[in-house]
Amino acid sequence: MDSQLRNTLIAVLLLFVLAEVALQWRAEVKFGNSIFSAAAATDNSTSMFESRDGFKVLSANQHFAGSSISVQSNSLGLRSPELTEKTPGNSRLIVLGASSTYGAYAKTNAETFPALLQQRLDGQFEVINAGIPGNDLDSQYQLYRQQLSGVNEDMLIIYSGLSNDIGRLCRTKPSGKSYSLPQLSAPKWLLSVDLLLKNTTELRYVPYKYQPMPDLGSLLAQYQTTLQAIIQLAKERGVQHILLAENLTSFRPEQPLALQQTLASSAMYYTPCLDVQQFSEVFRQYNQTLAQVAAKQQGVHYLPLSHKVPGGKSYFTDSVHFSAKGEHAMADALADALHSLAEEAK
Amino acid sequence: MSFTSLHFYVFLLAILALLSVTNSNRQKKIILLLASYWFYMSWDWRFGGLLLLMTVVNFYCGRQIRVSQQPKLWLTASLVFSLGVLGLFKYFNFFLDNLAAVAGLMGMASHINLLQILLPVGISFYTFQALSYTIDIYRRELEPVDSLADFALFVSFFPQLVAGPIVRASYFLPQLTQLTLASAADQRDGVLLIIRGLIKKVLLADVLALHLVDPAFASYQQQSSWFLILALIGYSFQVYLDFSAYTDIARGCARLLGYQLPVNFNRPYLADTISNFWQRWHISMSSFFRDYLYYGLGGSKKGNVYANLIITFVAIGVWHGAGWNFVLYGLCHGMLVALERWLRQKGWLVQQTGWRWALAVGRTFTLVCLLRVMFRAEDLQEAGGYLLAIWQNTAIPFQLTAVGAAALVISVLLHGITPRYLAHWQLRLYHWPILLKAPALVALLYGLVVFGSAEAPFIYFQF
Repeated sequence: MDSQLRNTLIAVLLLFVLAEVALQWRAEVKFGNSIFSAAAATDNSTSMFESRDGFKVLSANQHFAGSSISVQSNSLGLRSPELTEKTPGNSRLIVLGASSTYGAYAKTNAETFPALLQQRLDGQFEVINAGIPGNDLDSQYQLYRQQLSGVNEDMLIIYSGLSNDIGRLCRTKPSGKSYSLPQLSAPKWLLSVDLLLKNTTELRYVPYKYQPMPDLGSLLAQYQTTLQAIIQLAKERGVQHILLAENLTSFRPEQPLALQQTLASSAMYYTPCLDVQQFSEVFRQYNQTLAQVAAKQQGVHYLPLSHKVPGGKSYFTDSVHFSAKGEHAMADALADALHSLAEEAK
Repeated sequence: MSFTSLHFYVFLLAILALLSVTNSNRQKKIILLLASYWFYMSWDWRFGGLLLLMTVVNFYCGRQIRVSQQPKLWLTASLVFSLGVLGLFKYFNFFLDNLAAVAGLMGMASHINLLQILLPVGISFYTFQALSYTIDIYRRELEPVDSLADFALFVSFFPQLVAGPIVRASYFLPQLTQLTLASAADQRDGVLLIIRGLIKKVLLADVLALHLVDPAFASYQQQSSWFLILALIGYSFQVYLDFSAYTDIARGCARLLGYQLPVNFNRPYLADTISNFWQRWHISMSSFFRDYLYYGLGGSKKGNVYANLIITFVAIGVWHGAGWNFVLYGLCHGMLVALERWLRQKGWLVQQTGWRWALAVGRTFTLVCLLRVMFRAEDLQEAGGYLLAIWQNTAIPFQLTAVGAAALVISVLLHGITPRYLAHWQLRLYHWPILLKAPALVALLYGLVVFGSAEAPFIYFQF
């Protein structure tokens, strides 16, 4: 091979690897999770998340220390304190959800909204954060059914998140049997690729695309069925109150369209087939389903939250994940709702 | 296995690594033949059988044309088989569909069911390559090859298998007779061609499609007149960049493997007449139709030259796809070329220079753009609707993303650069110090990642 060509190729490869290593190192320092920790994982110390039967949890009893985010998991694989002995007069509350509940950008466990909620409830409730990134409502149901079976909770809040549920809207199903030979593709852990794509959605976003709204019928029906299954299971476990929290986004229909588009950037990355108005409409329909399910069931309440947790950059870090201020606002809103519920009960 | 996928470049590097330890021509050809079949079967392994059948039948026919007493019969067999297979896969449903429509018009209830046929990728390209072999033997312009493996490699050579350029047997088969390794200059040119192709496809053609062309054709009723006009221009550049990118990458890969493939484009939108456009656009295909159909019909020497031209261009239209829009596309081009010939004979169409030439280029480009509506639209109704929307949608406000506008401007500017100047600049960039060149290439790689995520297939794959 021509030496100049060979040297150039080697230099390009080296630079690419260097950039990737730098990004992985950054991820390790900031979040305590990278390809290094995954590679170094042994049978005893596994990578950050573990796949179970239909759901994900954190690797149990691990501390993932990063300069930006530090995560401590409990024995159940949740970002939550270890459960204490349940005493009379002390109630338990599970907040079931995905990455927003988990606190994707919360610096410590104590800064997630379930932990902040516990503080606001003056020790009346032990709040369990059962949010795990990547779990859709079906996975949340499985987690609730399998992982949280002996918890004896008194109350359940579902903040399902939705991103993982509606992400499938844009996945094209292969039609029929595939006769193609296997293909190589870039590994999913390549942070340079991931970071580039996440930060450049605006370059690929076309506001005048006028794509048809996808048919949500079957997805909403499935969402409703799973929701009812969770409610049914909770009731069988003796849970008195189930709260279905409105799913929130950083972008809101009342904002100027250009701002909505900027705020929806990360949502567009995961769900590129929707435009920003369609995204809002999808959230509206899912939240409407929550409200309809709550209206039909005794002891199930729908919690509208959008007026208490405003959209925009100060309450959200990206399209759906809360900033520190957002975590506090969420905790306040939920605490208010629980106080109102208590007042009503009296 | 797309030319824009990581998979393809791993595949190519693996082949190059294998070839680097090979010192016999036979081994090299066997590796390339196996690789070519793997490449083709990566889309659908069942297509491999069709490619093999096309190869074996034409190889046998080619041999029989030379040795048999009835060469015309064997040529006919080759033509009937090859065009029959192409017709079955590509045109049979179109034929049935129209048969049903005619039956309906005549008041007869039709019970014709369309066949569930999958169009094998690149079938139009390799069918024509195989045909060029038997026709050239029949015309005594080529001797049949002794080795089936050589012929199989000619038909299936992976860089140009699915979207050309259509390589004549007389051009490629002689390259297989001896072991040729890529020189340092071949390697340099090959890599430069591949990079150029990737830039054209991912950073320009696909961006034009995403920001301009696809929204325009998907919802022309809601788009402004100016947007639709720009989208037509954008589509002309998208098709050119997409297709010429494939050719560049194909030629680049062939160079790296030690072979040459012909040039397929010569700045087609600088053509000053429609006939000149076809001398610059998809040269390997238009010259194929010229040599094997137009001359076969008699060209300008036998029969009616205008009819011969129109038949040839309708065939070119139909080669692109089974639909009345493609028939009409070919017919319009044929009529325009025939008209130009008539005007030239009368002395009313002469070679222009200066601003008159620029006007002629503008006029030709406008015609090409307008006719492209039929090429892009699903059917004639959509094509008509699009053109009508240009006329009607004057009140809709114009909007275009900055990325789309930039891609269009760069595409137009790049088209104007002469090949010599481009080659000069490519060489200068190639000789940049490595400390500049490597970061620039990494930046390019990242650019390809950013805009390549949609994984848009090459347009000419469907043909």
